[in-house]
Amino acid sequence: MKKNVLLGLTLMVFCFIAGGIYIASSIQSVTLNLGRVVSFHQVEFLREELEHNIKAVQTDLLLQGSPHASSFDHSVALIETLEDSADICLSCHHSEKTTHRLGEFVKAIEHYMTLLSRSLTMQANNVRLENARMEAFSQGENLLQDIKTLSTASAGKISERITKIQGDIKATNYFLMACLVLGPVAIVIMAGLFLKRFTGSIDTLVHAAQVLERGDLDYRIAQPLKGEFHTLAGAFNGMAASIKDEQQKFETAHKSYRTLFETAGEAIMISRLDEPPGLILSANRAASDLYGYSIDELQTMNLVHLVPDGQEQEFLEQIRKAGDSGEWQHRRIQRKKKDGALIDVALSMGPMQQGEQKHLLTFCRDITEQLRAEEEMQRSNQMALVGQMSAGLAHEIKNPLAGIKISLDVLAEDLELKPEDKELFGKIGNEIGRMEKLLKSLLNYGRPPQPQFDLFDMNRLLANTLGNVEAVAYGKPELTVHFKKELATDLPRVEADSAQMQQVFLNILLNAVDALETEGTITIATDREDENSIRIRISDSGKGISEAALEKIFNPFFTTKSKGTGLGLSICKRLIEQHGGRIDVESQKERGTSFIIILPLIQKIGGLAA
Amino acid sequence: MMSRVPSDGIRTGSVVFMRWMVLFLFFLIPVGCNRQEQPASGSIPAQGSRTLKIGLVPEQDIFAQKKHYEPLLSQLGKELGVALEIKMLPRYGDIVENFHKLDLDGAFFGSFTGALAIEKLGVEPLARPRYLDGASTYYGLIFVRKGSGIHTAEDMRDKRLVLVDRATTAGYLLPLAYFKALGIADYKSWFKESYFSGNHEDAIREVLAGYADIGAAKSTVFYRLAKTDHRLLRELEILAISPHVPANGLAVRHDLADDLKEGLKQHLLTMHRKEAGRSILAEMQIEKFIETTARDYRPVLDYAADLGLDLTSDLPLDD
Repeated sequence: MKKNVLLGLTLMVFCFIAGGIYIASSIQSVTLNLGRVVSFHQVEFLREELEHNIKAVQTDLLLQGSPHASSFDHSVALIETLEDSADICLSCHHSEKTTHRLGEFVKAIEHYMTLLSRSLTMQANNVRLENARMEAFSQGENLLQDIKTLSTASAGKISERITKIQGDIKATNYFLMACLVLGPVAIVIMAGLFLKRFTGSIDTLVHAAQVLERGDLDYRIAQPLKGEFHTLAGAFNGMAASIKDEQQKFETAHKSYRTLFETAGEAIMISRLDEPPGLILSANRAASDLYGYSIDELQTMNLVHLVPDGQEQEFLEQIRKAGDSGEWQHRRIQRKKKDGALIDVALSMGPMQQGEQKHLLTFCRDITEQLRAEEEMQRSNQMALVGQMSAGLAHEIKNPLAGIKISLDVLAEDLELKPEDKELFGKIGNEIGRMEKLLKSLLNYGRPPQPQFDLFDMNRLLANTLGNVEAVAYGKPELTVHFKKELATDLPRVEADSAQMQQVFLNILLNAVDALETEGTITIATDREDENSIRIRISDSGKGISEAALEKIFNPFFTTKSKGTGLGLSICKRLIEQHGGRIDVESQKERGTSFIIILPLIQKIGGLAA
Repeated sequence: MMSRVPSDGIRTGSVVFMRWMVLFLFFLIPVGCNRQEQPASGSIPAQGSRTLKIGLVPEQDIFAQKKHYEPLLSQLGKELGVALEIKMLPRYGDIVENFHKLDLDGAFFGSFTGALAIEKLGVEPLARPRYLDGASTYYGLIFVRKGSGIHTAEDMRDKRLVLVDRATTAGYLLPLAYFKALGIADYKSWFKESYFSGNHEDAIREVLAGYADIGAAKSTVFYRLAKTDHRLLRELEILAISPHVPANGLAVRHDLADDLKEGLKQHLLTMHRKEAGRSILAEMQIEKFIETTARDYRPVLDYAADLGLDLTSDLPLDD
C-alpha cells in the first residue's frame, strides 16, 4: 500500500511537473510565436519607416542646390535616421538566406550613404553636382525598389508564417484545454480507484473488528488483501487467535477458579472493603451450607450480619484493619447461622486486589467437629495418662495387697476365730479379691498387652463367645434372653489377636445381658464392610443409653453400674484401635443399643504379613 | 488577428489572458528590436553632465568618418566622465570658419586646418596618432588612372582635376605645389574642369570611376581604402607625393579648462596601455597617440609659404 501510495504520489507529481513544464513551454512557445507575429508587424513597420526615411532623404537630396535645400546638419541627421532605421530593421533577421540578401541591401544602403556624402561634400559645377545628386537619387530609388521587392516577397511568407503560428497557437490551446479537462478526470479516476481499494480493505478490517467485538473469536479475514493491508489482516488474524487462546486460558482459569470456589469445603466470600465495608459481593456453596442462607441471600447481606450479636463493631474494625494493613488475619471465632445458632469457625481474611478495586476475601471453615475431636483427643490423652497412672499405682498396690492377702490367710489359719470373725475375715478376703480384679483391669488398660495376630474364623470366635455368655445368662433365672446370630457365610478369615477379640466380644455381650431387665434379644451379626475389612454388630433390645452417657461411654472409669470399674469398654476400644479398627455405638432410649466394630482383614504393622 | 480568437471558440478567459500576454509582448518586443539603436544626435553620453563638442573634418565619407571616431570619443568620454558630442562638418574650411560659431571645444584637425586653426584661432594641439606602420604623419598623393598617359603638364591640359578642399594639405597645397613645379601657374585655366570632392576618399573614387582624370588625396586615406578596394593599387598611378605633415590630431580651444585639456591629453596618450583602448586604436589602425605641439605644424606653414600663401591672412577657402 505504501508503495502504491508513493507510486501514485510520484506519478501525480511527475504528471504535475510534466504538465507544468509542458504548460510553461507551451506558454513560452505561444509567447515566442506571438512575439514572432508582433515581430512581423514590427518588420512591416520598420520597413515602412525605412522606406519613409529613404523617401525623406531622396526629397532632401532633390532640394539640394535649391533655395529650399536643408541644412547640412539636417541632411546628415536625416541620413543617420535612415541608417538607424536600416540597422534596426536589418538586425532582426537571422536566417542565412535572408541575412545574405539583407547584407546586399546593407551594402546598397552604405553605397547610398557614400553617394549622399559625396553630394553633400562635393564642391563643383552645377552639372557635376547635379550628376552626383542624381547618382545618389538613383541609388535611393533602387533601394526603394529593393524594399518593395523585399516587402512583396516577404509579405506572402509572413502571411504564411502568421497563419502557421496561429495554427500552432490554436493547437497548443486545444491541447492545454484537453489537459485541463482530462487531467482532473484522470486524477479523479485514479483517486477513485485508490480510495475504492483503500476503503475496501478498510471496510474488510472494520467488519472483522466488529465481528470480533461481537465475540466471534473464530472469525478470520479470509479474503486476500494487498500490501500493508495484507500484513494488517495477518496481524488481525494473529491477534484474534491470540485473543482466542487467551480467552480459553481465561475460561479455563475462570472455570478452575469457579470450580475451586464453588466446590471448596470452606466458605469463601468476597466482600467490599470500601463503603459499605463488608457488603458481600460473592459467596460459594460452602458458605451457603455453612450459614444456612442461599447464595442469593448472602449476596445481599453484609458480613456483619453473620457476626454474633454485640460483636459487629469489633468485626468492622477487624475488616478495616485487614484492609489498611494488607495482612491476612487468622482466628477462631463464632458465627451466627440463619437460624440463630452459633457455630465455631476458623476464619481467614485479607485484602484482594481486583483491577483497581480492593476487596476483602474471607475463608471460613466449620471447626465444630475439629474442636470436638481435639477435645476428644485431649480427653483421650488425659484418660491415657490417668490409666497409666492408675496402672502404675495398681502395680505398686498389687504387691502390698498380695502381702496383706497372704497375711490375712495365715492369720485366718493360725488364729482361732470366732465365727463372726471368720465371716469378717471372709469379707476382707472378698474385698481384697475385688481390689485385685480392679488392679488387674487397671493394668490391662494402662499397659495393654501386645496383640498376637493369627488368622482365624471370626464367626466361630463370636459363636464360642456367645455360647459362654448364654451360660452366664442362663444363670439368671429372672432374665429371659434370646440370642440371635446373623453371621455372614462368606466371611473371610481375619488376622487378629483372637484372645483380645474374645475379651472384647465377651465384654460387650455381658454388658448387653446386663442391659436387659427381664427379657430381651441379643443379636450378633457379621458382614463385609468393604474388600479390606469386616463389620461386626452386637445389638441388644435393652433400655438403651442416654445421649449424655453415650458421649462418655468409652471413657475410662465411666460406668452406669453400681459395681462396675468403668474400664471394660475403654479397654475394648483400646484393643480394637490396636488392631487398626474402630468401634462405634448407636443407642436409642428403650429400644436398645448396638456396638459396631470395623476390623481390617490384614494387619499392616506387626501382622503376619509384616 | 486578435479579433479572430473568440470566433475560434476559445473561452473569453483565455482571450483575456492572451490579450494580456500580447500586450505584455508589445511592451517587450520593441525593446528587443530596438536594443541596438544608437542615439541619433551623435552625442556620446557619459557620467558627467558637461558636454564637449568635438568637430570632425570630412577626411572620408562623412558617415564613415563619424563611425570611425565614435568608439574613440566614446571611450574618452567614459574615462573623462564627460559627454562628447561629435560635430560633423561638411568641409575642411568650415571648421576654422565656424569653430566658435558652432561652439566647438575641440576638433580633430587635418594638418592644414590644424595649422590654420593654431594661427587664426589659437587652438592648442594635444595629441596626434601614430599609425601601425610607425608613422605619425601623412603625405599627399597626386594620382591618375594607369594608362591615361598623363605625366606632364601638357598631358594634363584640358583634363578634369579633382581636389579635396582648399583647406587640406594633401588635397590642395600639394597639387598647387606640384602644378607650380610643372609650370602650371593657374590650374583653373589649365584644366578643363577642376572641382573639390569634399573628402579624400571621394577624390580617389572620382579618378577611379573616371569622373576626373587627375586627383589628389592624403596617403592614409588612400592606403586604407586600398585595403578594401584593390582597384586603387591596380588601376591608379601616383604621380607625386608631398612632404610629411602631422596626422589629424586633437586640438582644443585655448580657454578650455586646464583639467579637461590635461585629461584629454593624458587619456589619449595612455589609451594604448588599456585593453579597451588598444582594441579601439587597433580598429582605427592606430598604434597610440603621441603628444603634439604647434611646432609640429610649422612645416605646413612653411609649405604654404613656399607656395606664396600666407595663412595668417585671409585664405580664399571658398570660391
